[in-house]
Amino acid sequence: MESRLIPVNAILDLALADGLNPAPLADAGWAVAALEVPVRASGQTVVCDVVLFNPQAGHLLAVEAKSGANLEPEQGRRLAALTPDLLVIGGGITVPEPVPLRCGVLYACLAENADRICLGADEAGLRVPVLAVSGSDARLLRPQAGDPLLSAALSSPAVWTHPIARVVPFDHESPAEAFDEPVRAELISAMARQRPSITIRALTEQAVRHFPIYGRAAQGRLLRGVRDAARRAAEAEPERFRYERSTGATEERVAVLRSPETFDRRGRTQGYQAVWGSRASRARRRAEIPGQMDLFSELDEAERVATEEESDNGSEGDGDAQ
Amino acid sequence: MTSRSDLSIKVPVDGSVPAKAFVLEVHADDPDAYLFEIAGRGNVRDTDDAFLSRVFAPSAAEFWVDRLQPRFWVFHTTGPSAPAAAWLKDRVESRRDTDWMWLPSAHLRYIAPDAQPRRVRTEFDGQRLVGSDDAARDLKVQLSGSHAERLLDRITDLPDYRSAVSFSNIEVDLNDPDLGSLRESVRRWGAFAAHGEQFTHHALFVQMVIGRYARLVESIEALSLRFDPLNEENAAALKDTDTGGASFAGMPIGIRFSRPVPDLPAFCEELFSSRAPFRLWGQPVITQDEALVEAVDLHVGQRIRIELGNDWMRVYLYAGSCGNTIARLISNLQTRFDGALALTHPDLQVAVSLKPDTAPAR
Repeated sequence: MESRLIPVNAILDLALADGLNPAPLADAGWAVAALEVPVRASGQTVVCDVVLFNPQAGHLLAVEAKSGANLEPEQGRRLAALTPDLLVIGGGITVPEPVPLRCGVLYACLAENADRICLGADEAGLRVPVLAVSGSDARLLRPQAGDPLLSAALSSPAVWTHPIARVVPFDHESPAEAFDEPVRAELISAMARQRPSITIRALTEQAVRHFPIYGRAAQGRLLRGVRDAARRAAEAEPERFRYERSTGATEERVAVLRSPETFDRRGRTQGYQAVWGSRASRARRRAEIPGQMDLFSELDEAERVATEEESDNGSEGDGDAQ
Repeated sequence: MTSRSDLSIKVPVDGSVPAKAFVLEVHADDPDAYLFEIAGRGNVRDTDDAFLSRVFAPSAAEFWVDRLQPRFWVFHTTGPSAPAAAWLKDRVESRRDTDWMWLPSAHLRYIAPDAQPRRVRTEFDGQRLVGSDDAARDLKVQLSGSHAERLLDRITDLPDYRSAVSFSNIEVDLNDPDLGSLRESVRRWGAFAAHGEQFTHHALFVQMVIGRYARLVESIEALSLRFDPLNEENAAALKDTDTGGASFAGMPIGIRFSRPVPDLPAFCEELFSSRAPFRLWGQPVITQDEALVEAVDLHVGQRIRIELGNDWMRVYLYAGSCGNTIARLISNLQTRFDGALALTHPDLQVAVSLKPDTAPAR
């Protein structure tokens, strides 16, 4: 994962109780409500990278995930001035219980940048806690500056037991190659569904599932990234795909010229394996001849038929079918 | 015309051949049109029941198709099982909106609370994914007898072998004071063979198994990742700014293995080779101890993102995707790599294992 994206993904992972990494924020009651939330206050807009909401405690956490080492004082002051009602409205958050609402700000950054972020906060007069994220853990600095609930939840470092989840795997600032795999997978998906073509716009929204979080400019950059990746993919497989510019009648798109779905079933596997690089197929066992029949084995033959693998990899039938 | 009550005559469970039922997971906006499409309009007959159709499948069998559960259709027949399954397989493999029902091992092990297991089979085949020096690379056990499942339970209790036990088939006796006795043989891909006293007993049993499986699939889908644009009012207020913003829901689905992946590149090569039974396409990016894969489930043609480590897997399912993808992955991993795998989300683990308090500690 690009180091830039580690802080935002770390915050998300700490708030998602998926059972792999520790999730102290989820354990304390916070859930991820929204991403890239624009909030307008006093005539100015500030964007919160992540908004967490703890419905039991009525606590909202506006998280600024710093990709670098610089803290912008003006942005910090705008974040600190946010009120719970602005965050609830801006984030479209549902408040299920009539509890008193309060909010706070949390900065998240790479551990190597934490000192500079803390220094920047001091110089700007911002009383905010900072979450320092390293490859091994996430630890809360300046806990006294945060809500006691937050300080308690992160009273000890959260040690990563697994790689940080990549909920936001790439963004508009990612290098070109970051788009290749998701775009290729979506083109294979189009092949499998026997779609004759897919527009670049649709391909972008499919390949970048978090597309809605971004503003117009960033979405435009994402679309260009997807377009470039799609062109590379098509150029690498000219017999299977063709990139087509927009015309008066059609949108810019990728046409699927040949899909393994049109092959005999036995050729499909090899057909897919051959796209963007061949893969050697190992020798596979043949199906065994079914045997006797009784109620228990009544479905053996049916199962062999229904689940047998392709011709070069026979099923594992045990020979007791009809 | 035929009514639902006539099914007991059309598909007798007390005849000279077993009654069979095959369950397909179907995504159809227009069920009638879908049925015409897969069977041929001339081969479909209506009945008095809006959810029941009679289908003549050339070269296969006559099916009575029950669509009472809109997503899980039951194809009843007394015809020979092999051609019936072959006909259905053609439909499943030629479409991206149709799949089998992929029962996890525990859904067979605990098939019904009052069932008396009499035959069980495990067909664990780890030849392609389990290391050659592993204590249990391949395990095929079939046992007939009262409480036959206990043998597999005993094997499961042995640490070296538990990962190679996965229920593939089970046959049980059911006795109900009102519905009488029934013997059911069930396969993990959603096929049933029954012999007993009342068709209703069989049909209710099938629906019970489907209902439990449907809850698993729905639980999976409830965790799919969703990014929805923020509300229009907010957008209108910010029309002069270049901002986005989206609400967020869901989380990745974690799987913890009880045995280590022996060779990550080789494991990925097999898992994402597009081959059956997984039928996952992908070009893994492998680092020192982790593989990242933008995969495509070729059964349904949808993309899923997978991260894979030494003893864990993280799957990102996106909103609108079918939870059957994950259920199939679980069922196939159980029979090909680790019969003792666990879902890291507590609710999912309960839905898979059918036992509370089995979610692995974080």
